[in-house]
Amino acid sequence: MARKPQLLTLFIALVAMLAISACGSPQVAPTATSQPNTGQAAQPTNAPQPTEAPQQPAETQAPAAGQGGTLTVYSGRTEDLVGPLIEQFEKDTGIEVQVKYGDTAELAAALLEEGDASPADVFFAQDAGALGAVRKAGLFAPLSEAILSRVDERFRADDGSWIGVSGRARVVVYNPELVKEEDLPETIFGFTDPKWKGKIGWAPTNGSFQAFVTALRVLEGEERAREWLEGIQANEPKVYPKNTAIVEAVANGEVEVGFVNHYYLLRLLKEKGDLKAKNYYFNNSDPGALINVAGVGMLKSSDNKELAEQFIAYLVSEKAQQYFSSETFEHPLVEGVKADPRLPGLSEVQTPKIDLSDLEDLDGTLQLLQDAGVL
Amino acid sequence: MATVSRPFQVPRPISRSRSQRRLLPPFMLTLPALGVALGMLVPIVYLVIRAASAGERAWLLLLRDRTLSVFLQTVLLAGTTTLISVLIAVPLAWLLVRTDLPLRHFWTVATALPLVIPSYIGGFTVAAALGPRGMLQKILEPLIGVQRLPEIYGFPGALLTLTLFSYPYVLLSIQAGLRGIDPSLEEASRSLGHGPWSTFRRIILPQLRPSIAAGSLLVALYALSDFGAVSLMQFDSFTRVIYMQYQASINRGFAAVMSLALVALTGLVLYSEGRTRGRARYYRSAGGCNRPATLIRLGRWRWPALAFCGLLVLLALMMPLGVMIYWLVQGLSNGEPLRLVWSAALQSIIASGVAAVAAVIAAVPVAVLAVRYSGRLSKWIERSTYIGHALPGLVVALALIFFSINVVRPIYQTFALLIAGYTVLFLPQAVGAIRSSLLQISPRLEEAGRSLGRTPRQVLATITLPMARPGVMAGAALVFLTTMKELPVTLLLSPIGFQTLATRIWSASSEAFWARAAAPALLLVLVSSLPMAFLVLGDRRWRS
Amino acid sequence: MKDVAILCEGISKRYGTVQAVREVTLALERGQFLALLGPSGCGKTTTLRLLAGFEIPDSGEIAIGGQKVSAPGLFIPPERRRIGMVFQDYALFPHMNVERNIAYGLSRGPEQAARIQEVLELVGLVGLEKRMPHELSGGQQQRVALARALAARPEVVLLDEPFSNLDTGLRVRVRAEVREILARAGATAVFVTHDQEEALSLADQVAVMLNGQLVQCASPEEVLSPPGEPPRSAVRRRGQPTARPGLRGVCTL
Repeated sequence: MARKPQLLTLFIALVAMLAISACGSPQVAPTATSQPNTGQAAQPTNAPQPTEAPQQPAETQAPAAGQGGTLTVYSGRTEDLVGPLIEQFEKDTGIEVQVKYGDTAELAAALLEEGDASPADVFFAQDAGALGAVRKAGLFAPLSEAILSRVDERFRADDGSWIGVSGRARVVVYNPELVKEEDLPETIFGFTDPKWKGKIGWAPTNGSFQAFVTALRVLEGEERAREWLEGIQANEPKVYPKNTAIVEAVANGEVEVGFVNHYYLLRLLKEKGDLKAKNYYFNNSDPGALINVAGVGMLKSSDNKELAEQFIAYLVSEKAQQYFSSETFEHPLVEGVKADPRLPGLSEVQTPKIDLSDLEDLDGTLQLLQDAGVL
Repeated sequence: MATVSRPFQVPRPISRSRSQRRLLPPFMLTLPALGVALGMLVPIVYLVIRAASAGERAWLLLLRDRTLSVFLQTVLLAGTTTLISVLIAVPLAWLLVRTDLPLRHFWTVATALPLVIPSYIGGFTVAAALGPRGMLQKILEPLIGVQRLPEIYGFPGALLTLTLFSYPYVLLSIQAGLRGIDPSLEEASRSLGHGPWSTFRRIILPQLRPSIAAGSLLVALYALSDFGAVSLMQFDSFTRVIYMQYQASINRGFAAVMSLALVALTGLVLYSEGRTRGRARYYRSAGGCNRPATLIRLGRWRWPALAFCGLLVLLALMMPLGVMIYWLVQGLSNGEPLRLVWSAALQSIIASGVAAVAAVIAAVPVAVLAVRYSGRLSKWIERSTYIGHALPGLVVALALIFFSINVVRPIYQTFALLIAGYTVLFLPQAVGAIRSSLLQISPRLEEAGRSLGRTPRQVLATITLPMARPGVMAGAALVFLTTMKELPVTLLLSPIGFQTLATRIWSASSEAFWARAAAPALLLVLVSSLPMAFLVLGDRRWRS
Repeated sequence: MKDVAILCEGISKRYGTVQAVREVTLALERGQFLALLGPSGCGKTTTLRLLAGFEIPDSGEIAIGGQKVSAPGLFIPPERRRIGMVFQDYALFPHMNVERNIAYGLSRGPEQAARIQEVLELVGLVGLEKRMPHELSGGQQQRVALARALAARPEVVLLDEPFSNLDTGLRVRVRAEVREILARAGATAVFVTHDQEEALSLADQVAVMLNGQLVQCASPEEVLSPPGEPPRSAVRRRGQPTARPGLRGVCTL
């Protein structure tokens, strides 16, 4: 009994010691992202860097700005997804990148609060809606044509304030043992048919799903969107919290089809080996064929615009595009970069005609989902 | 009348004339306490500013029917969670403190540990295990052919998740209360012809009222502010609606209006808890001279008691741990490397440790003021510290961003601001623990110190705080444990590159890399169990 | 003329509507023992707490050892009044052993240990220095409380119902012991009691209080065989102002 308080005191002393040592250094240094090369990057010895950075369309305008350079990125994409890519960028260019990881929408809200005082140079978002909100607040600076031209018009802002870097397709995941591909409808409206009763899985709280419903409203109007929701609701779909759960449910036959993003299946296949599930893509400008993007924009308040453009240019370089293709299983958006062999090429998918910035207003979507009794 | 041989030496007057002629709290107490209270008001000021600029539409949104239904649902969820937590915690605390339950120390730690499991993990494991076709169904199917379990999403899932991972707040509070009860009261009751049950109901339970109220308050506020459980279980509480406003449309105005509604609801909860505190005094007549109570022998009743503890630990601890271990093993067998992220663990410990110290430092003046100088001002100060705990972490984080950007720019995205954020969120846990400890210290002891020539400050340092040490330690441990799992404030306020176990878990799990999330999650539970063991087995040196 | 240890002039204290202490005036010579005697609720404990500085009087003046400690616009906090207090429940610090309890009122230095030994000898507890309070009997606890109060050689020792926690058999013996100890220490003492016998057997002066007022102040012999009004008859006079306000309840020596 008498020893416990001593142990506790020891523990507290240890914590206090660690804390003091942590406070002593101006930045809390030891993190997973900081590699040995960051030490060199801080020195002005990086004059030959531009030549080291390969195939950069923006490289000509980025003579490393003299100060060696540190770039601050707010990333709504998690470290597990983009950490290695950013490390590679640091290695290739000698530019030090400080990344604040967080939820895309929360970071967007933080950017709005920070306004002109934001320490961020670049905002890397998981979806176009958040980019749209930051654009609406006038916080983005326009990107150069050299960067914008790398990506198809469908996947960037019409005013050049942000650019998509990887594609996330809405698909139907299905169990090939329970349903044949040719029996799947050509339009998302086909699933309102009563023959799908009890066979559909969905995740109405999922952000990507809600972005799709927003697209449906924008493309087809409120009434059609409501009809679709009510039609699906009448088929008594099973509700799952997340996309992964839907894919698993499809694979073990709990449901036959599910509305998900395309890459969850590929990631699950990597983790689990084999699954009885396949992706089905809509086509012909069907709302179901929506391809949302993860994208990036440069903050107007940035003092590091050259470095920021260099970073953004890197994300649409072949090397980074290849990374998205092979590591996150997303669609590369730059022409000529090979997607995962299991994915169709982007040019084969005729996506619906929609400005992805319009996906910014999801308020009405929430209202609709609630009115339809889905949420 | 005697004349005085020596002339009066007029000493240096240390206090000015007092109109009310009563002992006022010293400034060294009032000033820091006021400072803390003002700090707590930062989120409210922010919300008022944002709501004011939200425009008429946001206020109209507040008036729609849905707001009322969200309000009622939130009240229902918080109320039921609190009630069930109390129903679990009262008998459990009694078993753990007052009976000869076999393996008492083990159960004491194991039943408190669910507190360290983040709701975003706990909620997911509840769904994975108890969902319609979850792991339980897979176990039951070959046995009794269950095809589908009842739906877990919505109210039942949210209730279950919140209860399983927040009842330890009441449990810890009641355990401390039980240990503080003078056993002679119980003996007096028995000697007056009351049996154990009647004694429990008529003597122990009323004595426990402040402990139950304090713990319930934490559970209720937790249920109001938690996002993980309600989002995973798709239950529309205020917090979920507020988050939705940010996530769906980044509509800060309406989110602020809804948050203010949540603040109002919190005020209601605080008011009703204040009503239950009553006017009874709870310190012992003779400080420190009591014996430990004799343990009640359970006899044959130990089997149902063990079953009760076992079931609870199974659901609230073994189930989430089991699911996480299952993910980890599955990931490892598919070639996922084991990442133990010690650096994140270290940063978690540093941040939580400093937050615990900061919260205790901020809590001491507030608690001392509230207990020793009760009055309107000290009551308001104490109550104000509870606001942060009831607000979603995201709102607190945005408020502090707003505040630091506009007022104290240099501390933005520094470690100091992160700690400030944790303090705003978790201060009431420290205030509550220290307050209940102080309530049990007789003011006579402090007067004895004064009469022996010590200043109030010295008495505070040498008598009050050492005696309140169990409360100080418990408060620090609670803040430490809850900071370990905190997410939204950590994500938004931490210095760039700062990673904790919670952010690692979030990073992996939000992209559904469950195998990768499992290792830091297990590490989080592991790292937290040590302070938890101290917290519950604790410092009872001069109590027994 | 002898030294005056305590001098109170017309002190009053009111809690809300309750007038706890009303215009109490008394003086006590150095080395004397004064008993504040009266039924519970008569204001005797409040008077003691006003002397100690735990309460602030609404009016009146208090001087201890010739130093004014309380007057309109002046309030010396308890720690600077040179008092020693023995509480009804002793208020021993439960987290300190006997030695540290006693040392609490002493300044650190080479004399500290010697003084601790001295007072321990005085109260007859040598050898129990390392005991914790809960390891002592009731009588021992009280002697520790007394030793603690005496250690810093206070101007006045204040005792609040010092014997009420002891059983009757013990009480008589401890009472004699305490008187002995206080006398040997040469202390001035004020103690509060509701026990007439206790007051008469211990005190040099007995001050009888009723309803917040001092109704009699005399030697034990005078209280026993009242020349004018016995305490009991004072009950009937409750609330009536006396004819000589200037001298009312004055404890003259």
